Amino acid sequence: MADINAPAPPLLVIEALQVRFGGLQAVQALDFSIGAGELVGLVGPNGAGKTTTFNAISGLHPPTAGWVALRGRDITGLPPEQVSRAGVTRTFQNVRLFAELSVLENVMMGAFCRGRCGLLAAMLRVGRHRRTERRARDVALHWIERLGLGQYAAQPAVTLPLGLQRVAEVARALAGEPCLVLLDEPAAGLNTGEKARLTELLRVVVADSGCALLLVEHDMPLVMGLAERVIVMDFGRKLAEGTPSEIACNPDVIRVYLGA
Amino acid sequence: MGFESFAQLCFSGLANGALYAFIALGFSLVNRSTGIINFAQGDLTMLGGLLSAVLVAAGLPLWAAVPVAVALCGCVSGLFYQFAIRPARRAGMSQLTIMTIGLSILIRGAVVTIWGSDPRALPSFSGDAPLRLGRVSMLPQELWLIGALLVAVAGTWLFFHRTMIGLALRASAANPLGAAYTGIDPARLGLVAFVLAGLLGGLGGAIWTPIYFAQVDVGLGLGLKGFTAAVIGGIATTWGPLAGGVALALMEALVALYVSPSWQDAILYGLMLLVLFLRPQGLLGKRTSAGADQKAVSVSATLRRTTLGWRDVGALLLATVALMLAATRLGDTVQTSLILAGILAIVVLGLMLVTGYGGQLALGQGAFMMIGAYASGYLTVRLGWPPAAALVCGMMLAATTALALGRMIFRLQGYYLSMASLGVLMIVLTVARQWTAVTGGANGLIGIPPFSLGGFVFASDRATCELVIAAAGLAGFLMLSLARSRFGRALLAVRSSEAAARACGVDVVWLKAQAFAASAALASLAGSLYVHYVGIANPSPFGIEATIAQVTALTVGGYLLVSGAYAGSIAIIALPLLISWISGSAVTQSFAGLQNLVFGGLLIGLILLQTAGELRPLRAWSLRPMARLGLRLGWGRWPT
Amino acid sequence: MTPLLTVRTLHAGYGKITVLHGVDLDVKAGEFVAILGANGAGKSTLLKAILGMMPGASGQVSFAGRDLAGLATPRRVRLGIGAIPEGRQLFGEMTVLENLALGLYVRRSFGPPPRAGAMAHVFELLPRLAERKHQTAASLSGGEAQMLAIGRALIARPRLLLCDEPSLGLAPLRVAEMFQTLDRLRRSGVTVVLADQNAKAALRLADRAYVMETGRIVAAGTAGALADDPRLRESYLGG
Ligand SMILES: Nc1ncnc2c1ncn2[C@@H]1O[C@H](COP(=O)(O)OP(=O)(O)OP(=O)(O)O)[C@@H](O)[C@H]1O
Ligand SMILES: Nc1ncnc2c1ncn2[C@@H]1O[C@H](COP(=O)(O)OP(=O)(O)OP(=O)(O)O)[C@@H](O)[C@H]1O
Ligand SMILES: [Mg+2]
Ligand SMILES: [Mg+2]
Repeated sequence: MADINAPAPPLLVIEALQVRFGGLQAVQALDFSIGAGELVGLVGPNGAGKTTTFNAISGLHPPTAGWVALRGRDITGLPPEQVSRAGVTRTFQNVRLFAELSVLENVMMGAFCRGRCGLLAAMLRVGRHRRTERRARDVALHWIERLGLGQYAAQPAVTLPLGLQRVAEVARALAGEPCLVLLDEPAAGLNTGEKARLTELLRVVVADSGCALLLVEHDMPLVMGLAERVIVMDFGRKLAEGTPSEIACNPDVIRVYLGA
Repeated sequence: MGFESFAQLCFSGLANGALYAFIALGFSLVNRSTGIINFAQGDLTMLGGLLSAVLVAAGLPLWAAVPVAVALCGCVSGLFYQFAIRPARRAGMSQLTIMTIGLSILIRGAVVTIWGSDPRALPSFSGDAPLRLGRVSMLPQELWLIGALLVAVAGTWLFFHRTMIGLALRASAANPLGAAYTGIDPARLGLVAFVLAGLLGGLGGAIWTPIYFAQVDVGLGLGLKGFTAAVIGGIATTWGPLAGGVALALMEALVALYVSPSWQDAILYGLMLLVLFLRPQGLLGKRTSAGADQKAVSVSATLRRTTLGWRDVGALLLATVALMLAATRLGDTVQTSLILAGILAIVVLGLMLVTGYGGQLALGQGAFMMIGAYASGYLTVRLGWPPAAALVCGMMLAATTALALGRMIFRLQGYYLSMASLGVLMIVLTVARQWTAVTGGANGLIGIPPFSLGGFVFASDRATCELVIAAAGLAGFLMLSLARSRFGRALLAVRSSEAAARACGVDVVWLKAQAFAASAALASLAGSLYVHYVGIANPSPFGIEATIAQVTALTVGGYLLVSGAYAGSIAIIALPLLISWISGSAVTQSFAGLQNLVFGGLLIGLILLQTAGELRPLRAWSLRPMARLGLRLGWGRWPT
Repeated sequence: MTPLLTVRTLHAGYGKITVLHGVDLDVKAGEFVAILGANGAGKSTLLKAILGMMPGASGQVSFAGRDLAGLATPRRVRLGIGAIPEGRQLFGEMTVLENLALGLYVRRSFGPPPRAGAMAHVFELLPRLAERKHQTAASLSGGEAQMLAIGRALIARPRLLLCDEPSLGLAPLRVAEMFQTLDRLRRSGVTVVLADQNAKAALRLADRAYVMETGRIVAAGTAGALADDPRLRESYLGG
């Protein structure tokens, strides 16, 4: 009974999400949804449960209760490798690039979830392996160029300055051809100029690939400038949700998070 | 059986358990302080008992002999730390762990050389009159042991939680760099841990010896038991070693009573594996949070090559062909050695994938070698299969077994693979000894024909030598090709951050299980080739000594180097020959001691040479560059 | 005032790559010095080199009139140089309390660890840590972990505190508090060297500042003068 005029179902729906660590409710009764291609900010004080929410969505730490659905498909509690295959990739708050691999190879690892070729194929170098590798390399090179990492491609990823490491992580997340990318404080440690550049890059990403972004960030000007909608968390709950300008003058948000 | 005899059994189990727990505590102490698994702990325990006995025999009163012996154990351990571990601290944990195997061999060698290998007795501390509690009788010495253990466990807890030094040691194991930022010198403090572990080992041994005997051979077995106890109890917990030791000993006693003792090891280790699968974190351990990476890894900016070029393959091919051509002109001894080295290299190449790339120390490749060996033996001798078919069948069997095991084992982290693979080795060893109908028991399956392929029989040593070299070359190519693919890249990625690798779509358990299966297939291949060469399949060449040789070859050659696997294997095979050649070749008991002495010393020395900054000038002469150099002369770049 | 820290022609790098090309730096006792610079300018490397963490570094570093050549990091820390390090460098499997106790290792290396009472002043500054004191450091949120790194550095009351991006991962309110804390610390006599991307706030607090570019000091002066420098405004202060 598809109704053509009905709004498209949201890309990601989260319902009654709960994560407990022993006695501590790190996330509780959290609901929100994200539309395709949307740019959403997720902010809140330290320890509000933002990273925990990311871990619950991406499967790194499955929720104790609640649902996560991607394009109507229930992905609650799937292991991370399957979540990434389903189309959600992420970056980490503490950069986690692979130390022994170059920037290019790191980004190629991002495309791992798109390849299907097992040990025997790799060992015997059959055509399928070569095709998978070539495709991964092409996608990786595309994002490396697009995000301005071209000159660093052959360097070990850990020798990049921190800011570029974060960009490399974004590239790695994009190489998985996701429909939603979770970005955990991508601008931490960047100076004002670099933040502006990152903002531009993220806009480019959304325009290029049409994937949605869920962005955790403490730099308010950046979030306000980039996000179409902002969700505020406090003590594991949703405190407020709205357009950046609504959030900026919400008294609760000012009290617990922004300060006067 | 009545309640009393059951209680008696449990109590005796408890006493044994106390000894295992003592050793496990030593493992735990060193591991929590430095991250190293100290495989010499069992030998330090043996040394404590033996030295006490020797000192008493030399006329020292018991009350003086025991403290002196214990102190000497502390010294040995401390000296080992100061002059071997400390200079090599920057090496990986696995390399340092292998160094402790070196110490274990060294101690055994020294003991045999100086005091021989006869058992020695030590008088009890307070008489031998058994104390009775109901109908359960216990030796006063057993009470001493249990009492000392309880004090040691409590002391260790106090040390790690209620002293700054203990906290600092835990901190240095967790994050050496962070430790430096708080003014801790991890390199210096490690000495404290090793001395304490030595004292602990010595004390346990000295108290235990009056119940049993002090004999050089028990060291290795005790070490493995202690390691098992530590892992199943939870190595980083206070009461884990105690619980693990007691659980292990009780299971041992019960199995010995209810089931035939000859199957004891198999059932025991089977139960261990079960415990691990049910409680991956150890009996008393806590689950760590999935999101956090285990440890702060020190970041090295070394790039690993992950693409395969024609030059790499060409170099490998040329080396193989050249060696095969050379084989025809070599003497008998050299041919034999080359065969053995080639077979070892095949195993080591597989190990490189699991241990080098996968970062998991596997101690049970012998089990898969045996699968290959017995598959080849049984299928050719009993069923008359052609050798090639039997060989392939064995490889498939080994790979499937490893794949199934791997799916379970790799849910576990840290040392569980070491423990579990060791368990599998023990189980397969026992089965091989006891299932006489198929394996021929300790006598083995005899009359295995030489390998043949398409009508050609590899009957002579020369032909076998060429076959083995070709197989080793092929194995090298396959491993190289695997390591330089998205597969190898994923293994390296998992090593730096498991969380990030999973988020990239890597199914870590499956990935490692596949690597494990590949390594098992190679081990099986090696096992098959071996039995076709010697004509008999029996368990003895595949035991724990073989494991040590394999791991040593891997370490000496370098963890991630295909060329290193060859060089290391050749070194391991050539070393005993050299030693016997130099020492005049008489294979006597003291020769075995001497050989261990030299071998242990060289093992430690070689790792030091590769890793210690102070020895950099000497490093030009270490094995790895030599192997590279030799091959660079002819064929350009040698594949790494 | 006497110089507490002097750095002369410091060269340092990673392997074959040289990152610092002859850096000179003077910090007087009681001063608050900011180091500014783009990503990869070498700020973290400079702070690490001062602590003796860069093998193969050359040049002179002296602290309180003493040449630090040949002293390993732990020895330097014991002389009174504390740090909020890059990457936090906490002890993941240990609890918050134990991490803080180890901050005091420079003062008492033997005997029992200090009780929670001895850390009251840190908990007062960073109340979130008190709530989390029995949790392991690895399970803290990013911001909480940063607070722990700050707390661990403060508890030892170092003479010189090297701060590498102390505001990393902190929420806006907490950032403001953290800068206040550093200010109070300076008033209590601690010398502070601060490398932070939050250049405006850093310049507001600092007495003097250095600007780094690709491993060299390209500008130095009082904070006020630098804040008015048009070139700086453009590249670091966002117009
Ligand atoms: N494994 C765990 N055990 C106990 N508590 C935990 C665990 N993991 C997280 N927490 C707690 O849950 C809370 C939420 O943490 P989370 O990392 O989600 O915060 P966050 O919103 O990302 O904060 P920040 O902005 O500081 O990164 C924190 O107070 C943290 O201490
Ligand atoms: N482990 C490493 N190996 C090689 N080069 C490195 C390593 N770490 C950093 N570098 C390089 O050294 C240079 C200086 O890095 P440093 O971390 O000191 O910069 P920074 O000024 O602190 O920058 P950021 O704002 O990113 O923290 C950078 O170009 C970086 O690429
Ligand atoms: Mg977070
Ligand atoms: Mg920095």
